[in-house]
Amino acid sequence: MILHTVNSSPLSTFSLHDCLKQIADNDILLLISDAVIATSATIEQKATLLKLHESKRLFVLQDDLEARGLVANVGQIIDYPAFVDLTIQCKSQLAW
Amino acid sequence: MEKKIGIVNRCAPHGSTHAREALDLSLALSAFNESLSLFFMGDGVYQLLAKHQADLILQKDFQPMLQMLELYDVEQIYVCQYSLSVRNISVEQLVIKTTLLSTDEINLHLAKQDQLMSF
Repeated sequence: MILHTVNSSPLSTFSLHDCLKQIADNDILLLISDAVIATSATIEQKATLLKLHESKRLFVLQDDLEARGLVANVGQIIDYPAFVDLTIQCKSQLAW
Repeated sequence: MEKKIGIVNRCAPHGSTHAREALDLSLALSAFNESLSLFFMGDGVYQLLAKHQADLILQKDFQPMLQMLELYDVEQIYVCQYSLSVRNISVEQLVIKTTLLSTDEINLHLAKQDQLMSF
């Protein structure tokens, strides 16, 4: 079980695109920094994100959303302590 | 004749310092250049989205500084309509008064500039 973290905008970089190709069945995806944009914009990977969300494997960092004035349409919004819990829960972390 | 300078903002705010630096440069340039144009396209449009709470991630909120552009007589502020619609942002959600342009219209305005600086 890997915790994948993406930190750049899906509309400017391929990080999310690449990460989603690589993500395994029980892996978790956490969107941080500029990557929180993925939860509010209309992007190609919307369906894949929705699937992850339905299987409770998509998380978004609250402070990064609010810092940018964004509202998430998908993903479970979490705070920093929950981020720490995710890192404990997962065997390793992969930063994209 | 004075050079026409265009500053192109393409980066999302806070993740990098580009947005902040571009704004600093815009305000500084406005002191001695009256034909300054600002372009917001791609993820750069997020810089204008209202209700930033940058202090949450220990960043300085530069949005009040955007209001300074008007005081400094920087009036040519262009925003890409397509970039807004892809990001589900309406013009009412922007913090400053801007001119919305299509990608073709942006191209026309970019072509008019003597010098372009991209952030």
